[in-house]
Amino acid sequence: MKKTLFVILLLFLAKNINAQRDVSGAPQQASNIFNPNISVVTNIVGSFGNDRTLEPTAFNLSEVELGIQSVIDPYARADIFIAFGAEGAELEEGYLTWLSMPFGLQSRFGKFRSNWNSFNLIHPPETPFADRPLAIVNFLGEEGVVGTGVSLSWLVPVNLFYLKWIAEVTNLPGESPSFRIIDSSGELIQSERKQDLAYLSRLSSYFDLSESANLSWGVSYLGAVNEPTGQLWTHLGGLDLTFRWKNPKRAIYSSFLWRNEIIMSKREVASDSSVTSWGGFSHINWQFFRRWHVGGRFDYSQFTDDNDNAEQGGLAYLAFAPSEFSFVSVQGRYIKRADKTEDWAGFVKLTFNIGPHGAHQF
Amino acid sequence: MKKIILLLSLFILNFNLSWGKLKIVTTTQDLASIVNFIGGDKIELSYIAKGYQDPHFVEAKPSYLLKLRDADLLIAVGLELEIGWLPVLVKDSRNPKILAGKGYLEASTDCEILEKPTGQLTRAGGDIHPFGNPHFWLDPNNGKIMAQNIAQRLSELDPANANFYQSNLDIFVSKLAEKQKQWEGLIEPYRGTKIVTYHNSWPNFAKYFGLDVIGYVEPKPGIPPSPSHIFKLVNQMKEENCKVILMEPYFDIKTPESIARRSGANVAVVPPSVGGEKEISDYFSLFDYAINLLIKTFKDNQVSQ
Repeated sequence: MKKTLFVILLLFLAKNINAQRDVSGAPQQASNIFNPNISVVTNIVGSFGNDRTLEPTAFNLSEVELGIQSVIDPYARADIFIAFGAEGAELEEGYLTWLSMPFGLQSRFGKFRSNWNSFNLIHPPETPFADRPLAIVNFLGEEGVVGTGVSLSWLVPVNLFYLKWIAEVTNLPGESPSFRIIDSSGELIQSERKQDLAYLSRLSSYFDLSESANLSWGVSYLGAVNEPTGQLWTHLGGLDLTFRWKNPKRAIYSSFLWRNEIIMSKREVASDSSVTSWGGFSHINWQFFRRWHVGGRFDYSQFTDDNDNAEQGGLAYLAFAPSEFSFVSVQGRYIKRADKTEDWAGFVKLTFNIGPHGAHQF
Repeated sequence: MKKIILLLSLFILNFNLSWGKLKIVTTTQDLASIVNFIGGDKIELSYIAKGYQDPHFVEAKPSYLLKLRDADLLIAVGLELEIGWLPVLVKDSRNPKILAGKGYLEASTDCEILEKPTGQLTRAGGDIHPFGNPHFWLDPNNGKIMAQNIAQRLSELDPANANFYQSNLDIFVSKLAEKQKQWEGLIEPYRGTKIVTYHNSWPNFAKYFGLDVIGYVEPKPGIPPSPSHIFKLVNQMKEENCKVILMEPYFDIKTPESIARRSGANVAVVPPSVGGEKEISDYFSLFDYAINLLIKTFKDNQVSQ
C-alpha cells in the first residue's frame, strides 16, 4: 500500500514538475520596454546657525524621492512618488491622470500636490531653497498642500492666450495649519468626518510678452473646515505672478525668474467671528553663467489664527549646477520671528537625480 | 451690438478660418519646411522650436499647448531630441490624436541613424541619446526619407488629397536629387578635410559630405569644455593640421575663438536648422548656406586637398 502511495506521489510530483515547465515555456514578455520609468531625486541639507527650527544634526539626508511613472493605456498615465526621510517612507503622491477627456478636460485621481498657486506644485527637493517660504509653512504646512481626491482641469478653448481652470475635491490636507486646531491638551487635531472635504479652484493664464519674456499668473481658492465638529471653515485665497526671461538664442547661458505669491486667509474661530491674515513671498533667480545661479527670497507671514503678529525675513543663495542632473548651493537665511527674536541660519544643499531624462515642467 | 459681441466671441474662442484643413505641428523648423513643401495649401502648419534655438533646450511654454491641442498630426524629430520638453506638452495637450496612433509621427523612422550606443549607458558619457544621434536631418538622403514618411502619413490622414501630396513629394525628391549633385560637386575638392565641431551635431552631415570630424569643443555631449580638454584639443588640431571649427550659433563663441586663435584655425558659425539665419528659408537653403560658408572658411584658411 505504501509503495502504491509512493508511486502515486512520484507521478503527481512529476506531473506538476512538467506543468511548471509548461508555464515557464509559455509566451513571456521579451523585453523590459513596458517597465515604468524609475527615477530618484536625493536632497542632502547641511545647516548651522541659531535658528530654533533647524534640524538638531548638522547634516541631514533630507529626502530621497523615488519616482515611478508610466503610461497605463492609451487613455491614462500613472505617477507615483515615494519620499524616504528621517521619519521613514511616505507616499508623497500617487495618482492616475486621464489625459484626454471631452471638451478639453483632464482629470486626476489619487493623492497629489494640490494646484494651489504655483510654488506648491514643486516637490521640496526640486526647489532652489533649503527650506520652504514662511507663508507656505504657516498657512499650508511644511510640505505644502497635498490631498487625496479628484482633480478636474479644463483648458479653456480660447485662441488668443492660454487659460486653464482647475477644480479639486480632496480629503482634508493633513498637515496644513489652516485646517487644524490645537485642542486643550495641546494636540493638533482636525475633522475626521468623511463629509468634511477640501475644495479648491484655480484659474491660471500665461502670456508671451516677447520671444524671450513671459508672464504667468493665477488666482486660487481653497476652503475646508478647520475643527473637528465641521462647523467652522477656513477660506484661503491665493494670487501668484511669475515673470520669466530667457533668450532663446542663448537658452543654456542665462535666464531670469521673478515669482511672487500671496496667501490670504479668513479663518472662522466662532460662529460670528473670524481671523483674517495673510502672507507671501517674492523670489528672484538669476542664471548669470551657464552653470551658476544667484537668487534671493523675501518672506512675510502672519499666522492662520493670529494677525497681530508676523514673522519676516529673507534667504539668499548661490548655486552651481554641473549638469542638468545635480546642483549644489550655499544659502543664508535671516528671520525676525513674531516674538521679535532674530534667527540666522546657513545651509548647504546638494540635490541630484538619477534615472531617465525627465521633461522639465515650465 | 449683438453682432459685434457674437463676432468677438467667435474670434476669441476657437473660430478658425482654415476649418477643414489638416492641422499639423512640427517640433522644429526643419520638419516644418519639408511638411510645407509636401502639404502646400492643403494643410495648416505651425512649429515649436525656431531654427536658431538649441532643440535640446526649448522651454515647454503653455502657449505651445494652444498649437498642440487642436493638431491632427504632431511630427517630432524623435530619438529623444525633444525629451526635455515635448512629453510635458503632449501630456497636457488633452489631444487624443497626438497622444497615440496616427496623429504622432517620428520623422526618424527608416532614416540612417548614426552612433547608436552599444553596451552599458550611463550619464558619465554626458547628455547621450540612447537611440542614436538625433541630428540625422543633416544628411540629404535622410531628408528624402523624412519627406516620404511625411507624405505617406498626410495621405493616410487625408486620402482625398493623397495625389497632391504624392505629386509634391515627387517634386521634392527631384529637386533634392538635383541639389545633391550640386552640393557634392561644390564640396568635392574638400572631401577628407579635418574639422572640429562644438557639439556632436554634425555626424550625418560630415559622413555625407566626406568631412573628417577629429574632435569636439565639448568633451562630452552637453558638458562645457574644461581648460585641460581645450589644451588637448588645441594640440590635436595643430598635430592634425585641422583648420576649421564648425559651431552652432546658440553656443558661446568665446571658447571656439580662443581655440581657433591658439591652433591657427577659423570658426564657421553654421546653424544646423532651417530658420537659423534669414537666408535659410527652407531645407534646401540649409545645405546651400552650410556648404557655401564652410567652403568660404576653407578657402580663407587655404585648406585644400
